[in-house]
Amino acid sequence: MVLFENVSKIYGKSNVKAVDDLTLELRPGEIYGFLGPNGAGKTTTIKMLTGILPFESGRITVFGRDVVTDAVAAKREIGYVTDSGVMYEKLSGREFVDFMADVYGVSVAERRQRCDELLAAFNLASAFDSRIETYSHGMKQKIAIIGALVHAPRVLVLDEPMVGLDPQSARELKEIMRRHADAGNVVFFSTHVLDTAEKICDRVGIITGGRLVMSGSLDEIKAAKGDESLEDIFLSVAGTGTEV
Amino acid sequence: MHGWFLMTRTLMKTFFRKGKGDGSRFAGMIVLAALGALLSAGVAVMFAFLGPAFAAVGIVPEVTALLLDAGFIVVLVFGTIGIFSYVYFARDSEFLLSLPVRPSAVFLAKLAAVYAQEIMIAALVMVPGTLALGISTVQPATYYIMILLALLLVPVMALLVASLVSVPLAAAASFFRRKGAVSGILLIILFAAFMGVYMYFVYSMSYGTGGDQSVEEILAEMQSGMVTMASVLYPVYALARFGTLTPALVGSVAGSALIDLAIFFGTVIAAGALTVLISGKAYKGAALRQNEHTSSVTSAREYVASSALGALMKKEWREMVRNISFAFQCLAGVVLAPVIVVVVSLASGMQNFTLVPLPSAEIMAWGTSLLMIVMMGVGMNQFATTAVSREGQSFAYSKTIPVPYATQLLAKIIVADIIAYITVTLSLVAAIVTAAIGGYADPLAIVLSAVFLLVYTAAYVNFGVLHDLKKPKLDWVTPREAVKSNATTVVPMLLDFLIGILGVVLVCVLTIVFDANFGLPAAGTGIAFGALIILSAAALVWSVSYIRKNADKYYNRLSI
Repeated sequence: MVLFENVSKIYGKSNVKAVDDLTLELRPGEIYGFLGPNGAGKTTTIKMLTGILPFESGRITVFGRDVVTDAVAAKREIGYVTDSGVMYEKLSGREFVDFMADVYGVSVAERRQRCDELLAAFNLASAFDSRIETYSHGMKQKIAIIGALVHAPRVLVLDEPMVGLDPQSARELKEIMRRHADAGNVVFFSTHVLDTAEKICDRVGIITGGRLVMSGSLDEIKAAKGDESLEDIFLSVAGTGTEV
Repeated sequence: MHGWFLMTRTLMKTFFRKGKGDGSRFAGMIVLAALGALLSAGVAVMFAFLGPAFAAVGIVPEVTALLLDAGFIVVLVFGTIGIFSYVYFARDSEFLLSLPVRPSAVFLAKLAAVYAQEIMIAALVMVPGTLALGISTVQPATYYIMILLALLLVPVMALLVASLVSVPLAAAASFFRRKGAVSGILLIILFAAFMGVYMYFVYSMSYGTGGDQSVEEILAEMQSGMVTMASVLYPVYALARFGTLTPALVGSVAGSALIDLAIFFGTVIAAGALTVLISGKAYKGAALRQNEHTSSVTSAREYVASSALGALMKKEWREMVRNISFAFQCLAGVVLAPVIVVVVSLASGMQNFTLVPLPSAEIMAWGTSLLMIVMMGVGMNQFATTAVSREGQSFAYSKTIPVPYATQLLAKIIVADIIAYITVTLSLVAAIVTAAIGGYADPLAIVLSAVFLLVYTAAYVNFGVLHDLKKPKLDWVTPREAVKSNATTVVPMLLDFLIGILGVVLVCVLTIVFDANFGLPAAGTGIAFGALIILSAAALVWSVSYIRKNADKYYNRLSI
């Protein structure tokens, strides 16, 4: 599992906390949707988990491994897809996957088997040996996902993964996320698309102003808020301190 | 005109506006400015001393022209790279060309942005020496007008030539699959050929064997050689003649000055007109073809497994060589350094051999070669000093992959070492061959130089990588910003130049002193090189230890 314990993050010398005392548990076998308005702290949370950003207080562990004191071991458990789509664009898709597989220690046989499945699912086989700089935004997103999954991570972290994907690919990705979670792994993703969150998430969390204001299964959240739609709930709590 | 003005204003803002974290580089900029001032001061002092001698020999216009030529060449070389990366290979080309602005206006606006950057480098190269020369030789007021005109217009001329050169190059490269790599190779070949042509004119400076000629004959030959060299860039020579009021074309001083000024301005205007005429259509076609990726399939078709270190090294190499800005800045030295070593070696070897008694001539000639190897072969290679900066936004991967930072850094260091050692080896071989031909090859100096370079190169690479790790420039938009507009690269380079100069001076001085006082030049050479080797080894050991202890600390500080 992934555990956030009283994690706080302040940028620069300001007093404003980008993430304020976050405590959250992500369990194996579930898809956890992380919702929030722009600037709420979703990406900051994800970047702290994946080791990109340091944090001022608290602790984050990934299957018992502290992301600060045992960083390499913790990172080995994580597959991460950024929201910005930046990557090594001078590499071909295959070279990029080889790179990711090598740094995570995946054998040729394993990477071939996993990639062939994903390439077929994403219809990316024909572009696999072309340079990433020639890819469309959606194609870059797909190759990033393949790179994140090549080592079968126990924690799959995706930041706004549906952006730029065509409907077919978005559906494929949701199915991949579901299968990955059903295999006993953690899937943690941020999104603005509430419809997606409603369809695939086992639990959701709503963060606003750096604070996690709501967390639980959709049934729990809706029951607590008088059976409103997730959209209504989201719009009402974003900016408030309502707890489930 | 209006479109060009709007475009230029916007591009200048994006080019020069500070990014995140640039404020923290203020201290680095101060150091950079101080080093630049020191270098300028050194050049100015040198030309202030030599000025009267040049005046006595009657070669002030020619020396002035060569100083301006240096500025022209520097802007031509770096401006061409800038044009390729900022004009043709820029990511905003398609967006800008979709706007209701003429393609020629887009091209000229981008050229203006490149000019604004290059003029600073041109000033550093041209102004200190010419100013000192003008003062020490009591030149007329026109000389200082010439300096101002040169500062403003010599870079313009160089960039116009660069833009004319880049049109066929970009067009040729656009038909290839690996556009970036092909452009880089064509540029390197072009500049190597240019330096080779210059070699021919350097030979024209030779003035015999010294033993059979009178001083007057030697000076006459030197003057003739200087005129030939200065005439290579004739419009710049004409400007220098205007500045020094040297009548060359007609008897009247005023008439000759006006004609020279007309030649210079006429060339600038003609080049400008050609550029405007050709640039619009040619730029649009070439720029859009650069962005067409109909077939950029790489050769590998199978999965290839490597160790984590191997994978990182492959990634480093591929990301560098497939990006034209990176490839040129990091690899051009492999070709250019040996060429420059040969050019300078021949010039210095010829001069010292004829005028100075042996063995001092040998060590001074070899010392000049060694200095060029240290400066051009080691210091100009930017692979190490941009090792982290070149990652840019993809640095996120460095933070997320389960590979210790020390291993990631090791991959960068190994690739940097390979490139540096290839460059140094080729340069050393070129220097040895040239020394053998010139008759000043000293086996002891050659062997000790090789040992020194072996140790010093590794130490410099470590220092360069470490320096970039402390404050990398990760927020670049165009690759050129990571290599060219990156102040971090200049400090190690200038320090390398300083070390090279001090080291060579030490070797020459000790050799001459031991020769003069004890008749043992080899002892002096051995002691000097011994000291350099020991100091380099100490620096290498320290840098390895420091990186091992602090890599994590510096990596953890970095965020994007």
